[in-house]
Amino acid sequence: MSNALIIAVMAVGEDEGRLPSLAPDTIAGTQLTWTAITASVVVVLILLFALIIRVFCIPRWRKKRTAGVLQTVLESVVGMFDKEGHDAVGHNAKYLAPWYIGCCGLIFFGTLTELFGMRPPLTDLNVTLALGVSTFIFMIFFGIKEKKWRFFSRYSKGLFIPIISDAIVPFSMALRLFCSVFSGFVIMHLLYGVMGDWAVGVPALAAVVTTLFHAIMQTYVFMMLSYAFIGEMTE
Amino acid sequence: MLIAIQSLLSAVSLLLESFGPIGAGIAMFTGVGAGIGIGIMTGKAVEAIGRQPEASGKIRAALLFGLAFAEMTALFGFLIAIIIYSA
Repeated sequence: MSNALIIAVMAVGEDEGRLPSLAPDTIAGTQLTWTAITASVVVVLILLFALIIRVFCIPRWRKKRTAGVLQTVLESVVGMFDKEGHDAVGHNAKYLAPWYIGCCGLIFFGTLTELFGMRPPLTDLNVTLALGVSTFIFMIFFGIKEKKWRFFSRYSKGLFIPIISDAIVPFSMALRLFCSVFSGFVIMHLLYGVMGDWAVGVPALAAVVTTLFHAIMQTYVFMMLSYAFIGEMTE
Repeated sequence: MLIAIQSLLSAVSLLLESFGPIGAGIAMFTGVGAGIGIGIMTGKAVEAIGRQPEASGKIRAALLFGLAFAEMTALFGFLIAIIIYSA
């Protein structure tokens, strides 16, 4: 077993005989990390796709009577976010649904870049913490906007439990996303390291379980939980 | 005498530093809870499908949704095991 670990370490190009420290450098500004590269690529591609659809496809779709495949898929995605938003959050869904479509686009397509060999942006704790903190900020903002001063009646009976359960939200959402995607990344890394030159077939099966499953489920879970938390605060 | 104490201290420090893999092994016990939870969940889902096969789409969606949460608990332990092992 130690031979396999040594081969894994050598295959990923790091030395000293220990398991490679796969956590990214958290220095920002001066050092380029994989996160910046992959996140930029994903965001630019999503924006290009949206621009092409808006400029070329939507005027044509307005004139057609029957919908094609792409239009049906896009409508079902947007409709799902909108319907779940209206069920959970009410009339604030017109602000929140576009934000969560963007975030879930980054999560889904960002995790799919692992299939192409890039490192998904969600393996960086900074990115997932940003997503979690955004949900927390929306919770507080829309809670105060809807309920004004009655919002603080949550903390009237005992200060400890409501504050803990509210303050844990950004960290739990961040660690949920991070652990799912990072563990899949580590397993694929180790698998490729162990198999080396004979990595044919088995990584494809492992990628379905570790990458695709987590991409789909974490997108859905992030959306449902964010709507549930914000809906609980604005109720 | 001094050499004996020094060698004893270095042996003790080496012993205390080598518990990384043991900690990683203990951290993997979170998989037990996840496995039990997923088994119970799947059993209940199969029972529900057997009772009402028309609702199998909704039951499958709820099953996958719960599966993500249960698997996440096991992956938390896996991640901590990796971190403890390599540091």
